[in-house]
Amino acid sequence: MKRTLSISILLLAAAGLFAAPAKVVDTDGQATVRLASGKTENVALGRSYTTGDSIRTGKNGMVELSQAGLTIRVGPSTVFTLLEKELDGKPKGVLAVTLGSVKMKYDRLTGAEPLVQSAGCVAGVRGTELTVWAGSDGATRFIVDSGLVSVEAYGKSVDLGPDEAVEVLNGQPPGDKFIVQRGLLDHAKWDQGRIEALLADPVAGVEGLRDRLAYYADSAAAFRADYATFKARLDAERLQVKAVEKEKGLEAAQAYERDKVATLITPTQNLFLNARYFLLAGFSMRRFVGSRMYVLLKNTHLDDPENPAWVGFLGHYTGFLEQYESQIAKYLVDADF
Amino acid sequence: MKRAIGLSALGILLLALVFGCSFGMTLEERIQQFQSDLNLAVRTDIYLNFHSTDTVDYPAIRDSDYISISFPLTDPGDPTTVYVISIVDQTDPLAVTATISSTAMGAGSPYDAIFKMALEGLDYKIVTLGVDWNDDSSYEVVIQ
Repeated sequence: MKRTLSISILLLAAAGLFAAPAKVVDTDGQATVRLASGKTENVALGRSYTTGDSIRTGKNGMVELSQAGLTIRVGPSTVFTLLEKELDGKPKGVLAVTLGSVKMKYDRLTGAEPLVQSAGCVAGVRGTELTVWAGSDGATRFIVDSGLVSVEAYGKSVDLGPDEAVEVLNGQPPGDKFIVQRGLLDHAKWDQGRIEALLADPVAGVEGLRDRLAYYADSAAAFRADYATFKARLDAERLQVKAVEKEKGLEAAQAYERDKVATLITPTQNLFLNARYFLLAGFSMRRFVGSRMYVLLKNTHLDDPENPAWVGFLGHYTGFLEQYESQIAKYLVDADF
Repeated sequence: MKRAIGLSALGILLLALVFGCSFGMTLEERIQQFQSDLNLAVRTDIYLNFHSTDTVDYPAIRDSDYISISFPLTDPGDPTTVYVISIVDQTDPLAVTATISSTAMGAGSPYDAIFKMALEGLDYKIVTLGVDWNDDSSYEVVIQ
């Protein structure tokens, strides 16, 4: 799928202009953090984490974070990452829930609430309390306790009010919203349902992943192409500075540089960061959702390797891996792994 | 036993002082390391000069192409493109002023620069780096 992206409307950068650190105020059970540096360590009470850091909890693990008026409770068996983007020229925090359950509670609304991102969609928050569940098949459920949340995927947006919820299956727009029954909220039970849905139709599950991966890859490719154009212009202007210096002297060259080179540096950097953001999102999806899906299905069909569902899944999963390798991994660097 | 341990620790400390050993990378050494890495043809490890938790764009700058947007690679045939960073004032680690010279960056070389530094473990690392492209004392943050 080819698409032309206008830089002016899609300057969706990972440029983290205002990193808001999230401080650990409570932790229990197994909880580790993979720091942006690549180092993994146990989550420590009182420690602050920031952009690029990814928290993983075990079956009985829990971490509570405090971030500028926001309390984030990371539930068991969860992968949660702090990210930042630039949206319409303004920095925006992104809370990425790749797997598991995260509850967010705002003490106050500032208008700069972070976006909430799952494998399949993005939600804008205008509310004060919401819960996000990310399932083993890449599906997401948003549950609003209070305030308003707008969930968007594939061009369709659903606005949720208090006690409303919506489910977004991977590769699909948000479904119809529904009223939640408070006493019946159980993430483990919901995720079990998602696993059963995946086992019932594994091809649909992996196809959803492929659709989302294609979105990340297309977005990364578009930004890479724009970056290449800007970088070529920047290199050409730098050469031109030398030509102006030869012809008109140092002062003229410096004036030309201020006018033509300095103004190109930041937009070029932003395009580069945009491309990296989408590449790293694809990498995260492959690592946490795709791999888990594969292991789950392989274990289920260990005694029945010729099972048509497993064989069908494998064919599509191989396609998913090829897509990942050719469109995402080849643009990553060793330090990313 | 306690006395022996105490004497050993004192001995190590004295040796370190006598032979100038340090227990981590100083702010100046870090900037020198960054300068050396800028002058390499392959800059895969240059991101390691930055603070892994306080540098916001750390995941992105693991790809060294990002740094090359502001600091183009040197030209082996042109010695004026070699990067030289001279520290002007390092009294405040949060605002270390310096100049960066290399004609690879442009005709405005040397450029004024400002480093925000912080300790990561025992080593100083760069948190942000700003460059005054327009020679008007306004620093544009190129890495943060």
